[in-house]
Amino acid sequence: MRCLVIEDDAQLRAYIEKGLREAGHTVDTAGNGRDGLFLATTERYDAMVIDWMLPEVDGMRVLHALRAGDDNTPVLMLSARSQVDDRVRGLRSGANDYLVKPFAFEELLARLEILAARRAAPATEVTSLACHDLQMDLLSRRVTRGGRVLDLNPREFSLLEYLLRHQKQVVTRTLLLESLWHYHFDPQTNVVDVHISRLRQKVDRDFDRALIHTLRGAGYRLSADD
Amino acid sequence: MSLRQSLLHSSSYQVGTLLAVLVLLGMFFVSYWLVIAGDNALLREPEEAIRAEIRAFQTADRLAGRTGVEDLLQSGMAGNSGYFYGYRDADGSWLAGNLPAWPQRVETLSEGTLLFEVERALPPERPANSRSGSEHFDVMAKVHTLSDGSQLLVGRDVDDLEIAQWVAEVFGWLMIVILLAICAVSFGVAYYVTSRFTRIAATTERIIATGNLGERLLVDGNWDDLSKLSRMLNRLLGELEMRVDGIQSVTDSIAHDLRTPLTRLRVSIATLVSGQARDALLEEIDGLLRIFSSLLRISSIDAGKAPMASGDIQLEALAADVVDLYEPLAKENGIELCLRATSAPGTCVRGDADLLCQAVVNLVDNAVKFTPAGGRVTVETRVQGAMAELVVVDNGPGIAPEQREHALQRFGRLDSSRSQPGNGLGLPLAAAIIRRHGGSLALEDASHGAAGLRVTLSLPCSPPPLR
Repeated sequence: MRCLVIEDDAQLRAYIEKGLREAGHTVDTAGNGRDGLFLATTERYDAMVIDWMLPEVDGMRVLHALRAGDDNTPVLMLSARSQVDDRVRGLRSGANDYLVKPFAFEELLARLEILAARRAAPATEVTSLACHDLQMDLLSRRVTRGGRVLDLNPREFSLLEYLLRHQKQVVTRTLLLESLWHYHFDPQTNVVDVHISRLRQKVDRDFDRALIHTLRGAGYRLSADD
Repeated sequence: MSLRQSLLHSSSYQVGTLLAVLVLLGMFFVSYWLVIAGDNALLREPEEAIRAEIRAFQTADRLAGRTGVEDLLQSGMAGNSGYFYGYRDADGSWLAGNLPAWPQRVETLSEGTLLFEVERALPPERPANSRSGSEHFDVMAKVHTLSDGSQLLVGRDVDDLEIAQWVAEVFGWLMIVILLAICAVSFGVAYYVTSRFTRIAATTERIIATGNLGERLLVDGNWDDLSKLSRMLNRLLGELEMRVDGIQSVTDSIAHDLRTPLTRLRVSIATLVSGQARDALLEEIDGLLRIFSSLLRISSIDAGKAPMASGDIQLEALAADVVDLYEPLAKENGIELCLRATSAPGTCVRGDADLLCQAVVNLVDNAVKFTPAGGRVTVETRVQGAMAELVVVDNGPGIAPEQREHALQRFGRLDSSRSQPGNGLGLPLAAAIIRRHGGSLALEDASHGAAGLRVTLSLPCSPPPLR
């Protein structure tokens, strides 16, 4: 995917650029709002990362200008402010996601990929999901692996469904909390890990090939490869 | 506080009541006076004088018969004694007297006592002590039938006394009216002052509750001490607002100027070759950043001006979500985590779902963390009056009463919990969130005698339950 990163901090910008390139994406960068807005309006991108506080034209104004011009490219806002209302304000003014600095790069990547993927393939009505020998029937809510029925409770079912829908992508803990529990908060302990480990016991324990992978410091990924 | 309650507890109202009581006491005395005046007590003295005069005539009658009476009558009239006399025969024919004629229109004042009017101009020898000016004057008289059947009337001018009685009565009533007016005015003043105080108190309370230091008290004129008080409070608020804004901008700068380099530091560490040391460093810096962001969050919530991003949140559903989230972790720790909802379904509170969730998560997290294996944590929702409550009860070690205050302060970790992971900001953050929502957080013993902690979140229902 092709991304635009508008961030005034040179080191952070280089870091994001390097990380995205390593993940196989094409990246353009801008160090201030004016250049960023110019690039954003003249080129086509799959996703953008915009810092809230930028020199010359601030990130919020860049976002407003884009949305006013009917440009619906997914935008992930970055902010160093953790003001309680900022997240709501950011999302309300047209950003698709919001991350508070400092963040783990994996979190940024995971969110950006999900934003871009959602745009590329708008949620189609599917009735079944699959990965390797794992099958999920969304209508009968039946999950089988290698022909064997897995007994999942509703929470485990929706967790697995989310992982299947985003298979081969990194899914972070906060993403899971936001998507499955619909709250945005900072869990004190790794509650999500326990949910995943219980799910893993049912999905992976009796099989040779593990499907749910933990990526240290990042999150989880469901895929047939290691 | 309702107006009625604030009235009862206001000093001006109490002074007003005291005044009213005094005034009522005064009124009681005035009424007593009126009763006496109305009782014709003043008329008793002339009545007695008349009776004495009649006794004199009786004696004369007994000793000398009609001549004695007539002699006495003549001397009485000549002596200008202030008495009026009338004397008529048994057949009604006029015999003597200084009255123009036997009175025709009389009213009975009391048993045997009459009252009638006499034309002013007619009696030339009107007693000297009578006051002139009106065309009539009132005479009080008694009629005595003598031994030969003739009738003697002895009377006195009571006009002055009647005037005095009338004056007393009018003044008495006037007094009562004035006293009642004083009563009404003192209550009015008390009400006025109290309602202004109540308004000032309500505004202040709202400012404390919302933290909106931009709000000001209404200053109505500048003629009295209350408007002066309002002005002074407004100045104080202005001062406070300026300082809080100062702190806020410093906090914002810290947030920005410290976070960016910290992020860079994290970036630098993350780009190092991977290894155990790198992971440990990352973990360390993440912990540092988490403390930092929790602190900033608490100050930002506490200093908050704008009302919370608000929606109606079902406390019960929120509790269920958090229990659902923590259930596997609790099970793994060997703790039974259960939910008990006794509130009416659909009980809502107004607020920010993410923040309230954070508060509840912090409480449940603490409970699960500090309760030993085999323990039990209960999350309960209920309604108490106008408040929706969420209670988290555990049977862990609890917090000693003298340490509870400390536990709610930032970094207020108790010595007993130092061995556990955490940064001592969970409870303070929850408390700040609840404060911001106009609610309260209380720490108590789980139950009398038993170990454990009971944390009660109390939030105003939205809309308030119908009664």
